[in-house]
Amino acid sequence: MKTFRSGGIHPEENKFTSGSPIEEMPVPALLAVPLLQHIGKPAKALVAVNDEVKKGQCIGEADGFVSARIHAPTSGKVKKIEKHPHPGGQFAQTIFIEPDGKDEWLEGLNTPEEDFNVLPAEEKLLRIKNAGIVGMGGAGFPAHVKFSPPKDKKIDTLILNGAECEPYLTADHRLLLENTDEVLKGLAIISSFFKGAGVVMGIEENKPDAIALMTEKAAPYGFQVVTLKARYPQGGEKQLINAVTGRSVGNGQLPFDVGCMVSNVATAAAVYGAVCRTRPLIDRVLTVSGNAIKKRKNVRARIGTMFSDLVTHCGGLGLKRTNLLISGGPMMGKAQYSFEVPVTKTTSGVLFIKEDRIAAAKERPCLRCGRCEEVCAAGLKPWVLGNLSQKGETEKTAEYGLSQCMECGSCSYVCPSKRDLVHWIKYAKTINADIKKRAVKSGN
Amino acid sequence: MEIFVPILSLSAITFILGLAILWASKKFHVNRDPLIDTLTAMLPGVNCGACGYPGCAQFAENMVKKRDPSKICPVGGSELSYELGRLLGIKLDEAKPVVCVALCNGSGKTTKFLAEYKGIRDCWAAMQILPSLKQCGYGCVGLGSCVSACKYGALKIKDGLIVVDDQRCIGCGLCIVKCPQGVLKMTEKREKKFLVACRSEDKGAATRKYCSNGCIACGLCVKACKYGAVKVENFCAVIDDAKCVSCGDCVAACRMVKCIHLTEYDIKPVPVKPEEKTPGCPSCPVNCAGPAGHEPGPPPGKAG
Repeated sequence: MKTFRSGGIHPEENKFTSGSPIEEMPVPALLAVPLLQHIGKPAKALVAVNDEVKKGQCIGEADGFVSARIHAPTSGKVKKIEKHPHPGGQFAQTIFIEPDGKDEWLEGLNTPEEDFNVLPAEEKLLRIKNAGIVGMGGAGFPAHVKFSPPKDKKIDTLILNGAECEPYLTADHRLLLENTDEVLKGLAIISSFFKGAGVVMGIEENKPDAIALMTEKAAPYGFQVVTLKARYPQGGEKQLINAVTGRSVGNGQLPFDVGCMVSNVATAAAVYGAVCRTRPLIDRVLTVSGNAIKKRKNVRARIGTMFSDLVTHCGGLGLKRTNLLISGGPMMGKAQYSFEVPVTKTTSGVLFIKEDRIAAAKERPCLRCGRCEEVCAAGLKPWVLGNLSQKGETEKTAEYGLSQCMECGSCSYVCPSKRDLVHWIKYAKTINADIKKRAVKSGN
Repeated sequence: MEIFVPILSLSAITFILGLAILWASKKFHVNRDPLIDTLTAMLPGVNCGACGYPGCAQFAENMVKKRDPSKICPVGGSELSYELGRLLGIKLDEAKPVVCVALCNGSGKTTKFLAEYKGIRDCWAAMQILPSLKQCGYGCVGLGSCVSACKYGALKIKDGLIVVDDQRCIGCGLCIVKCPQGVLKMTEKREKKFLVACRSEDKGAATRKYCSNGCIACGLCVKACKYGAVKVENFCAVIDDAKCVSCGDCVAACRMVKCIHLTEYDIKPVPVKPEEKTPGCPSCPVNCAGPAGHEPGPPPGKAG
């Protein structure tokens, strides 16, 4: 069985929801749609307070090359536009939409299925751009930019990221099972941008039903299914490429430098919707799980659904006090401070965790045992980075490969001293960025 | 007799090496301006870096070499500037004493905390998952990244809010860049300093919701000021130091939230010294016997 070369861990899977079908979540009473749901510049608001909007109407225009459109998740009225908590941690400009209950599509959207084979490539890319599709695995890189790599780079392998190596999360697994055709067609559309590229689907062994179904259904398309050993962080772009093709993406290289392109399951399904059905990205499948929530589910929620509405939909919280609310998976997700945080295009899961599942311990000094080095998938020395950053010598961390850290959290997971290594690394990145910013400022 | 062999040989070696040192000291002698040492001794000697140089010695060296009147020592204030200018024979720009102020007065008592934060005790680290520990997205985060930057112990966190000790702050400005929110600011030190200790850009009603000490941009202070020194910008009042005459009308008018603060600083009066005529040479620190009025710096002929 294939897997990536170095590092990695295998945390408890806790995939409680892998058997529960995707549930359509009703539109809540108020939707908060942030203008920043991707990497790059936030979108520019196109609507004003009290404007009537239709489902799928573009309410935020992409501002710049690396940016994406934002669409109204349902029909209704714009109630207010103001700063609101964002899963990224800070406040972000957010458009509040009060649904009118009709859920009417804007004319010309949600059309009957079209054959994508007859469409020219430019038209397909334009549709993807107009639908505001971004990488839905977590990074949120605008898809139309990703699918048009520099001309001199030849893509020979398109990889579908079906690893879903994060514990708890099962959203991609359910999509593979229930929306198989959409995923496959989406993948066929993406592969049509790269002439002669082979398509490989990398799925971890803990999803045997998805592997069996995909092997059967993908055969007519000529797609190959590769079973991967369950290991974290296999869903990382570089790790997945290494696991599936054996190629290694070097420092500072991007996947297309080694002729690969990786796409998330949810992104492939969204690409199908955008190209064949002219459906903008207004909802996504996410896992609501954890031991503090009463009913653990996979739901299809509208973008802008607040976490408090998810709690109500999933039967409420089991105890008086939830100790940890995470947007994303337990390894790479971000702890949230508010239930008013909305679901965005990149929210793959929302976890509600009780105190007994949190390894809350005081941070102790580094033992230099080297376990973090063993598990680091990027081949770094996390303990050096952590220690330097704690001592305030963040500028030195660059020579130890700070920028190559993808913050997967394996080092923090294994540390016997309970050191917050990833947090120290993120801290060093922030401080270094600030130093750079100030240097640029004073240089001018 | 054998004892004389080592004595003589060692003496000879010592003598030769001594000559070598003598030759080297003449050959590789560096002409150093004695003025640099004099200036260094006069500077505060805290090597804070507020002047833009790594330390006081480098500042003195550059002052003597470049004689740039725009470079000043903000810590030393006017008195030092006057003295330095006199020694260098140039008129330095006036150095107004500065002091660090915090543009936030939302302590744990006046504003609510957002969540229990258990991560790294540093503002920058906390801001990766929270806008601030408190509900206001503009104010002091309250974990004290700036405290460790202050070499003089002038900053401390009290009840989740930064407090500046006026007696200890020397105005070096090292803390400013350590604040991720931009709460700390250097301002001119005056005997009576009025300051709007808030920088919230939210509308009044929104600010009111999360902080009872936040500026709600009610504009009462603007009306009260007879000198047009107070303005409301981005839903927050700002006092223009250039126009402020420290009358205190704004504080009296600030009834709603008490966001305007008065701090009284102990300031030595700016020295106004008559032009002293030093006997002999007025240009250099030592009363040299050189010709009066030679080029500023060490007296000619005596260098080295």
